[in-house]
Parts: sequence; structure tokens; C-alpha cells
Amino acid sequence: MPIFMSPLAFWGLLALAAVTAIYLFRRQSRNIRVSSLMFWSHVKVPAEGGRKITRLQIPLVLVLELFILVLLVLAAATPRAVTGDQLVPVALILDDSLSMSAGSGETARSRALTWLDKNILTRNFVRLTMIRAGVEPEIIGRSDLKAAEASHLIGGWRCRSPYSDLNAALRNVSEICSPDTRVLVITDRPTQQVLADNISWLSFGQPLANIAITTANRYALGDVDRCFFEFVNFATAPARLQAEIVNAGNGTVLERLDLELAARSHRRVRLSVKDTEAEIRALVKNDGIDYDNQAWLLPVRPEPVRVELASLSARLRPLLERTLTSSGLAAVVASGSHLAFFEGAGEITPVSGRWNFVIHNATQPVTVRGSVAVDKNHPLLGGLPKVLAAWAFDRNFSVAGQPLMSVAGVPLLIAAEDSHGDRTIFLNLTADRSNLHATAVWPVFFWNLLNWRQQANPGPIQFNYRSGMEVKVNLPTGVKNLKVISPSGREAEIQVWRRNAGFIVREPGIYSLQAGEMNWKTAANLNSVEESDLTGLQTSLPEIELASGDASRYFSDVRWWFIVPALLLLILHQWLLRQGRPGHVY
Amino acid sequence: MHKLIKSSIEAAEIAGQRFYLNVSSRFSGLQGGSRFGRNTGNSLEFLDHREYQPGDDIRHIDWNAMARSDRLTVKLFREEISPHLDILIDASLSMAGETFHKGAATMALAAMLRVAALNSGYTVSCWLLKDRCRKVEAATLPLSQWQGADFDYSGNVGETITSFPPRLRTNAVRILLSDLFWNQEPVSVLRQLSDGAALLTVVQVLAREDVAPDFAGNVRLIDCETAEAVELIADESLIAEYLRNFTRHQEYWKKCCSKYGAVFTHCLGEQLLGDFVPVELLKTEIIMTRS
Repeated sequence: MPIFMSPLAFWGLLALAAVTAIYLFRRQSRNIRVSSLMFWSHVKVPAEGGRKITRLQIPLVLVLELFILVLLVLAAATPRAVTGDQLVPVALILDDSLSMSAGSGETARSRALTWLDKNILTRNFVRLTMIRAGVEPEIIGRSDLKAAEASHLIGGWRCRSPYSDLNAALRNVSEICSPDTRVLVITDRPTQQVLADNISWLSFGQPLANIAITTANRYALGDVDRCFFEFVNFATAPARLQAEIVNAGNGTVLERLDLELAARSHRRVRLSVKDTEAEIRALVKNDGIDYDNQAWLLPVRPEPVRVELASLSARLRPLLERTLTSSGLAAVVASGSHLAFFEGAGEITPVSGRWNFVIHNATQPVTVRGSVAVDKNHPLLGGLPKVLAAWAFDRNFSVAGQPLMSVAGVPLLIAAEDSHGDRTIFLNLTADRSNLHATAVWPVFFWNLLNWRQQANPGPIQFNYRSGMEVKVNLPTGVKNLKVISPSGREAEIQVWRRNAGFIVREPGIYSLQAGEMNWKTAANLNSVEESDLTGLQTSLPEIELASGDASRYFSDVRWWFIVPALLLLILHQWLLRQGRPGHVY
Repeated sequence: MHKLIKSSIEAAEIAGQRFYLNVSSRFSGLQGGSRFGRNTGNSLEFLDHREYQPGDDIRHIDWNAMARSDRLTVKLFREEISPHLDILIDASLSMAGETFHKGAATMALAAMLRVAALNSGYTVSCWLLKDRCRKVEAATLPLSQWQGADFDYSGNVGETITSFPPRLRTNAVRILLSDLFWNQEPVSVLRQLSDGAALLTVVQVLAREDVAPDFAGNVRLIDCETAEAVELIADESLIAEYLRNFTRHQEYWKKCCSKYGAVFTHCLGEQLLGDFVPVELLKTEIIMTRS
């Protein structure tokens, strides 16, 4: 709809009345008596008698003249409208967090959609960029959507993210949109930030009472697993908490809660679960906001690293066996190991998927006691205490790989990787002339080794996540895709890169992972105070006029919209006058 | 009678004294009569000698002259004529018109013709064409004294002529004075009028507004006979279209007159009333100026 810069030109519409008056005046026919009408051909015969009302016969020429006048007046009023590339750029940052969908019936999302439908998505002069602000900002569709397209695509805004990084979305907008873009942040809570002029913060929330599980954690402690849950009453009034903690495998109720929770108070529950393979589930039964009423804790104990020590000498084997066993991460096996220990590189027989650890014994070692250069960024050496041991080593030892520890230019520890990703670690140590095994470096180093190897086993690195975290999955050689089934049943194929795949868990619940014949499960728990505490939600809708102020410069002169049709009508008018039959009343 | 018509008749009767009706055999027929014509004929009054030409009546060969001169000579005698003029006047409303110029000119022309005919020794009958063809009994009276000579008929005069033909004298000169603004096939009218006539002349009497309509813009044209009205936007093209139609009608009458041996001419009322000289009629030599 164009706007008119010179509304005074509308006084020109008075010309319509003038033309009509002239027409009506001229239509007052003079009576002329003639001898005969026989030569006045092509006459318009007046209406026959018998009709009381005769329709006013408006000649086409007059109608054309009036149209032309109207068009010229409109053109004179300097119409301006948003056309083509001159659409007003608007960026919508849509809060994708779960709190936007909180509430029974009307939610902040539904209110926001209603407002957007009324104020933005029906405006044809806007060019929209819609950004879903979840864990990471994502553009919905393209960055230059028409209003109708945006209206169609906005259904992709489902508010399933565990949190909303609105600042990241704002940064994203500043990078991908022009500085004159009008930015509308659609969320459910107000902001204390000082906003730029082109940013409008619209909150559609309403305070809600909510009981939520804000923490769920599980860890191995000896022979049992310890589970920890926290229930919080996010309300300004006391509320009843009815909850259960169950073994989801056999349905056994491990803990039942039925108590009164004061306003904004919490109840923490700690459990020791002997069945380390049990899947534990906590459920709040008397709360209407579902997304934070459940928590899942899957078994946390990974498969122990199978270690093969058969190649070691009788001196080293007990030492290493004791060290590895005491870590709790390894199981000594005779074959089919994940990690095999050797004394001397010559004894290695390559096996796919197996790592090798070679202890290089020198016949005439050199012993040092002093500083050892250590690459502490390597997984093998993280948390390693200062090496103050006597270290006997072969000063001529050299092998291809990444030196991780060295002294005086002589490598003490080297990590090498073959083309299949299998690693071989070389330790330049003559154990019977050293006392490294008597220092704190020894158990830490081997714990790191086993942990590193364990993390390289196929399967997720861990099993219980907070929503929004990235799940990393190790996969065996040859697997190209990881199939992920979300709690809501949506399937996704994740591409494997260098035997690793990763994805972010957004939706709380149990995720199924499939890679060939292998299956795993991981749990994602919301564990978010920000999303569960709905008492601070507010509605705040500042007045927004997209076509005002600076936005008016997107309006271009569209006088031609009226002048061109006026010229065409003028041509038609002339054609009718020239081509029409003489005396025919048009 | 409208005073313009009356005054025009009086002026025309005076002006008519300057003219006479052509009395040649071409116009008066070949039958004998009580008056000598200006051409040679069959009377007993000798006129002249001339050499024989093939086709001459051998009874007129002057044998004595042949004996004297040894040349075949014929005697010429003056023609003997009995001329009569029938004036048929269209008395429809359209002849009066808005200004009465056409009616006045028609009656003036009739008066002139009557006087010219009397000057030539013609007998004259006048007919008023209305719903019937009514003969004006007192034709010897001046036209200004005629009774019922009003242009008040609103019907089709052509239809009257074909349906109720006047009992016209044979071998008479017949002159029809009309604007011919009626929807009747000219052939049927001319056939009726030319039957037995020595000469038929059709004089189309027109007013200036008939030949050059002078109006523009929105007009409501009213047929003065039928009172039918039409609304038009008069412009140049419309006038041109009217003139094309009018000329086509006139040309068709000319063509039909030619077919029936009739003479077609026209007379512009305003012009005639200006000087009382029927220029177009003089060109046809139906009437001639007295020397």
C-alpha cells in the first residue's frame, strides 16, 4: 500500500466533480426539429416506454476520463511504496528455549505467533531473516524471506532447545544482516541489556509456578553407583511434591517423595544403586509443565579396557598388572585385547583395533634425575605430577612418532599412529634401573593411558548429558554413519569423521544410537534452572512501526504505477473517440 | 396560412411574370392543340422550306418546289400545342420545417411556375399531396387565396401517390415539388407520375438546415412529422455521415428519374426566397426568362 507524500494533491479530486458537472451540463440536449430522421443513422434509441425507471447511461468515455483524472491525482500526490529489493529488512530472533512452550493452552510461543501474524507476517514490505536462537543460532529457511514464505516456515520454530543463547543470535544477526536491519527479539522474559536503536526486545511470557528436577547425576563409586537428584519448587507459594525414583528396568520404586516444598526451596535425593547396569528414572507426578518433570540416569560404567600382558617379562608383568588392575579401568585378558604390552618393538604383531605399548629396555642405559620435558596437553600426560624420578633410558633410542617426553633431546615417550588410527606408544625406560614406578607419575600415567584407550573404544564417551551438550561417539573403522533416534522418535544420520561422530542433544530424554550391529543409549536431562524457573517471565511489547523513521527510505517513488495506466487509458479514450461510430453516445 | 408563405407567394407571383414555361414539343407533347409552339409541327400555318432529310413526312414534300428546282424540298409548319401543367405540391409537415423557409419556397416556386405556365398559354392544375391527392379547384386563383394550402400532413406522401394516384391529364407537364423526405421507393412514385406525362420534373425543395445542418454537441433531434426523437452528440463526423446519407438518397432519386425520363432538380428555399430566381430550374430549361 503506497503512502502519499503530497496529500494536498487530493484536492485535485474536485476536478472529478467539475468534469461530471460539465458532462451533465453538456448532456442537456438541445431540441432541434428536423424535416426527417431518416438520414440520421446510427442513433441510440431511447429506452422504450413501459419502464418507470431508466438506468442512468454513463458513457464509457466519461468513465475513462474520470479514471484518468483519479490516476493523475494519485500520481500528483507523490505515492511511495516498498517495492522489489527495497523491502524493509527485519530480523526475527526467535527464542527456541523450552520455556517458550511452557503453559497449558496458551504459551509464550503461541502469543508470539499471534503477534507476529498480526504485525509482521502480514506486512508485504518486509524482508525477513528468521533466526532460531537455541543452543546455537540457526537461520530458518533463507536470509531474505518474503512475509508469506516466513509465515510458512515459522512452523519450524518449535521451542525444543534446552536454552536459548540470544546474545549469540544477536551477534549472528550483526554478522549476516546489514546495519539498518530492524531486529526483533521474540522471547518470554525481559532484558536488562542496553539495546541498540534497531533492536526491539519483545517478551511474551507470563509468570508460572513450576516444580522441576534441576539436577540429575550418577557416578560410579566402588561397587555401587551413586545417583543424585534435586527437586525445586519454582513458585512464590508452597507446593506439594509428589515424585518417584524408579529402576526403569524392572519398575522397582527406589524412592517415593510426597512432601510439602516451601516457595523456591529444593529437595535433594541421593541414592546408592547396587545394580550398576540399572537405568534410573526420576519423575515429578504433580506438575503441569512436562519438560522438566523427568530425569534419566543411564549406567555410567564403560567397558573396561582389555589388556594383554603376555609378552612382558616376569619382572615387568606383575608390576604393570598391579598398576593396571588397581585403576579399575582394565581387565587383563589372554587375547582379544584393546591394549597389548611389549618389551621391544620387534615383538609387536599388528592387530587391527589394538593399541600397543612398547617398553624399550636398553642394555646400557643412561640414568638421569632432573627435569624432563613433558607435553602436558596430551591426553597421556594430563595431570601428571612433576617427574623427579631416576630414569634410565637408551640415549640412542629413536622411532617415528610424536615425542611427548624427552630429556636432553632424547625421547622418553613417543606416540605413533598408523593409518587405521591404531596407536603405538613407546616408553624409553629401563625399569630395573629406574624408580619411576615408585613415584606418583607411574599410576597417573597408566590411568591416563587406560582412559585414553577407553575413550577410543566404540560408543559414546559418556552416557548421561545435560541438554545442549555435544555427545561424542567413537566408532570402529569402516563405519560411515551413526543413526540417532531422538526421544520424540525423529531419526538423524550423523556422518562419521575419523572414527568419531558428534551431535548436540537438545531434547530431554533417551537417545538411541545405532552403528551397524552396535547399539548404545545416552540420556539427556534438562537440568536447567533458567528454563525451569518461570516466575520471572513477563510480557513486554513496545510499540513497533516498521515503516516509520528511517524505514521510510525503503519506499521508492511509484508515480509510474498511476501514470502508465493513465496514459494507456488516454490512448483508449482517444481510440474510442476516433474509431467510434459518429454520434454514438458512449 | 403562415404569413411568410403568404408574402412569399405574393412576391413569387410578381417575380413569375419574368418567366415563361417552355412550350416546345419536348415539353408539350406531339398532339395538336390550340396554340402554336415555337418549333415546327403539324399545324396548317407554313413556317419555312428546307431540304428533305430521311425521316421527314413525305406528305410535306413541296412538289412544286421540286419541279422548279429539281431538288427535294419539304415544307415546315408551325407546331400546334395544347399545353397543360400539373403542379404536385408535397403538403407534409416536413415541407414547413422549423423556419417555414422550405414551405414558403415551395409555394413561391409553385406560384412562379403557375404564372410562367400561364405566360406560355398553359393550363394549370395544382395538387396538394396529403392523405389524398387533392386538386385545388380554384387553380386560377392566386395561390395566396387557396384554401387548405397548409403543410400539415404527417404521413408518407410517397405512399399517397402510389396508393391514391391523382388523375392527371395525359401529355401534360408534371412538376413535383417535394423535399422527398419520405420512405417510399422512388421507382414506384416515378412510375406512377411519369405514366402518360409529356414531361415529369421532380424539384426537390430543401431548406438550408437540410443540406448543411448547423448544430453541434448534445442534441435531441425531433422529427417534425412523427415527433420521434433521438439524442445524439453532433460532431463533424456525424454531420458528414448525415450528408453522405442525404447525398446517397438524392443520387438515387436522380438515377431513378433518369430511368423514367424525368428531370430531377433541386431548389434551396432560402436562396429562392432571397431573389426569387429559380436558378436550378432555369438550368433545366423548364422555365425560361422572357426576353
